[in-house]
Amino acid sequence: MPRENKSASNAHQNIDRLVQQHARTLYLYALTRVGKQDIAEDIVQDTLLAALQSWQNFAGKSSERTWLIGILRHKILDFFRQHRSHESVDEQSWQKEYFDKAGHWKDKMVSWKADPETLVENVEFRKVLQDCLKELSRVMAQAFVMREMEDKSTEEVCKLLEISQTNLWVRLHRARLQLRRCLELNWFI
Amino acid sequence: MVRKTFKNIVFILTLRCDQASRLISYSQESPLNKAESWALSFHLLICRMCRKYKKQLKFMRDILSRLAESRLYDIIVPSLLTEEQAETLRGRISKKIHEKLDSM
Repeated sequence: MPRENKSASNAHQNIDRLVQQHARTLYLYALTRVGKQDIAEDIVQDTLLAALQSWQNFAGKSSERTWLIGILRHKILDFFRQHRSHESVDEQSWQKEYFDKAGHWKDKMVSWKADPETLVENVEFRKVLQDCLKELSRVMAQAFVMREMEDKSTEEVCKLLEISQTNLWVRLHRARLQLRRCLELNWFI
Repeated sequence: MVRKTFKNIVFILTLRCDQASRLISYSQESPLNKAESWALSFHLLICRMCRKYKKQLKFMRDILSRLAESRLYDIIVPSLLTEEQAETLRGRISKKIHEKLDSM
């Protein structure tokens, strides 16, 4: 019993420091991927709680931050797994939004003159990008985030979302068209 | 055989932007087959819009893989979360975790 009490009080002491040092970063990391504030907050809370409970596994091989991000990424994937959408993606209807009857682009397609390396650190651009990602529907967003940001393979994403490869490709294609348009309209024009 | 070749040639010469954009996107996932790859190359030669699209997808990939780095989330973006909001957030999260630990 005394041992348990000791670890419990240690956990309590650790919370405030962990929250103080990492909550903000973890929250923004999660928000970029799940798009909703309340969900991001819940995931951060679960992450920190899981970290406290498995404190003995933290070997100090990586930084505390890296370790926490690792747990956070698992929690985000868990969330995607629990909230996967089985909505079928209709080929025909959404294409009309981007292409006319002859199959030509409806969008203007301006030239994007910017350097990705500096642009991604631009705070105003970050806000625009974040808002554009938030606009993606859940069907597209989960697939897109896992593929383009979490660097999961096609097979892993299909398995986790329980969808076919074709279905994944259509989701990604649609997400790319939408994100491209959003960035162009809100930043590059 | 002849019929298939003919069909492929028609496909290669008549590819539309909606089809081309799809091939550009799919090519990021897995290699295209021969007919698709010829069709796309030919289309890109003659279509400035799709050339731009291809470039922009590459740009987005680059940006998004950079956005994946955790280091970036230390950059303060006040429009995403002001220091005041961050403080409230910290308070809420702390409180909830303390409660959860107590109830275990």
